[in-house]
Amino acid sequence: MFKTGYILNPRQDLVWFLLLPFFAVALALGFQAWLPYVAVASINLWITIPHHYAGWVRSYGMPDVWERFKDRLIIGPIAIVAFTILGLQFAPITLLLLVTAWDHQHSIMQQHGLARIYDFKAGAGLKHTRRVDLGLHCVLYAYMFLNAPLFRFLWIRELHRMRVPLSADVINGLLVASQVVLVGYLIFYGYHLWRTVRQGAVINPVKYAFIGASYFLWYFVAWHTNSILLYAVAHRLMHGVQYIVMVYAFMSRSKEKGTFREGLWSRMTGKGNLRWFLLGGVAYAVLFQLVINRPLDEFGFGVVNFAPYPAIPEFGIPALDYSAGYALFSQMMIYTYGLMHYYLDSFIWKVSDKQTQKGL
Amino acid sequence: MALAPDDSPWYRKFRMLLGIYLIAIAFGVREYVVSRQSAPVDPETEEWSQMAEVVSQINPADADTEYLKALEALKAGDRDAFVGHMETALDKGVKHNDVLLRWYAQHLFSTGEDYRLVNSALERWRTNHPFTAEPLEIPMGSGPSGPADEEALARELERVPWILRHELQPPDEEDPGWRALVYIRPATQIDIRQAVAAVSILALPPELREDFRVTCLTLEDCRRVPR
Repeated sequence: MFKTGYILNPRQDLVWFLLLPFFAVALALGFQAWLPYVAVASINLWITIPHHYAGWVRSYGMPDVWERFKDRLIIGPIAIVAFTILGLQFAPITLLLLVTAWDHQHSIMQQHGLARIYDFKAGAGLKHTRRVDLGLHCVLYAYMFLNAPLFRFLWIRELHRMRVPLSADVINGLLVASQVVLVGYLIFYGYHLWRTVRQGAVINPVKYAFIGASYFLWYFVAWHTNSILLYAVAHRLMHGVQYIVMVYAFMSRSKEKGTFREGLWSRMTGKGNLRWFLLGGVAYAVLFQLVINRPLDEFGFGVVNFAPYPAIPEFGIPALDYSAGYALFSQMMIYTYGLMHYYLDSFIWKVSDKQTQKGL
Repeated sequence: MALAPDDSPWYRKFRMLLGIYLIAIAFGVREYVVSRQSAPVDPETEEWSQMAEVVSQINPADADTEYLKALEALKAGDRDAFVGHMETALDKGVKHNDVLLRWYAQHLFSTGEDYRLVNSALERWRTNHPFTAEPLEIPMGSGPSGPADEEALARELERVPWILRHELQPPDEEDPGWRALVYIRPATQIDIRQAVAAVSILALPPELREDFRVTCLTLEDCRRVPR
């Protein structure tokens, strides 16, 4: 009846997929209590942006994947950028709704995909368990989105801004309907499990522990807060870290098995290379922040800040605004790199040195 | 959605994007047409008030509901209710709502509350949202009477360590007096008395400004002192 299977192995699954949501909630509660709101931007920079980078490596850095999906990897981004520009100009609310809705769909699909791996590894479930599981995720998530105070406010506000005003009675009716759908689907899901066992297939209990942990996180932060800070930190931590772990595990196994041609991805995997993969993620986040012209201070959780440049009246120096302060920082970088070049060359090029002579 | 086979026609390969953007285009066209026919739904409109009413019935205990109620109270001219709702929201530990934190600080300052309360509210706003581009408004009454006044004002405001930059706002329909809009430097300690002292330089006769400056013990108690 039961057969366990793991995404990575029992120990790592426990850490990354079963306990991480609880850790993320605890950390987010700490953020809510002790850190300012700017910490959300920091989590974005340390986790979310690097998880995008992991996705770039997984898609554009694997030659076999690139060749197979070349048209989608070229045309897709062009279309997305073009529609985003159009959306910003002509339909900004729609663009916001699109980003939000796709983000939620993407979150559901990631947890669904990981749950599917559990069944794949254990050889569990029936042929149509995939669809029944997807339905379960959609119903559980939609219930939260409709009912949790955190999200109710957002969708009611946006519907009004779109001039689709709903009365409180209509909304209450919708909420009751969602409760009926939830209970109905859970009964149906129980029936599906019963049929699974009856037909001689097995159930992977770890999958349900994983789904339970994921929805614990989402439901807890959606119902137990007055602030989107808690949700943003906990959700981004779980989603981003699990994605990065999954990408790296996939690439590591592919390298071990030799199932993909080598490329950028294979130079970042294998013994001792994890640090380069992670460093690449942070470097990507720094570059991203610079390109969108946001302050690097946002890396600092509102605790570590670049020292601003106040006025020095004694010397008649006015305070620098952020762009002038940044120009000063850039100049410091130019000087520092020049000085480092002078310093390094002072000892690596000694012609009298035996080691140098070997290369001449 | 199962992965389309590699030899699928283009519309199957791109069905995800096509599906999502067809729906988005339908929404977008509607938004575009509606936005050309009527003004956007913002806090000044009746539709916004309806939304606030619905939200307060559906989400009565939420901090953002208190914020919406505060905006409605302000619209109705009920300052006490405005402050009451804002403070209820703040008691719930709200950090995410930039506008709420800023307006509350601005309100405390504009109504002449104790400078320590104003400083604390400003700190709360700026600590949570250090990079927001919104300014704090400092009323200046009759304002500068010429370039010399403007120069003196700029010099004094630039000396305040937490002020990043400033703009002068002449009287308009909304406000009959001059205002200094001050933009706050991130990660600095704010003392609102310094800004009030800076704009109070205009109270000194021009010939005294070289030798004297203004310092404020409270928001009302400002005096000239030698430089």
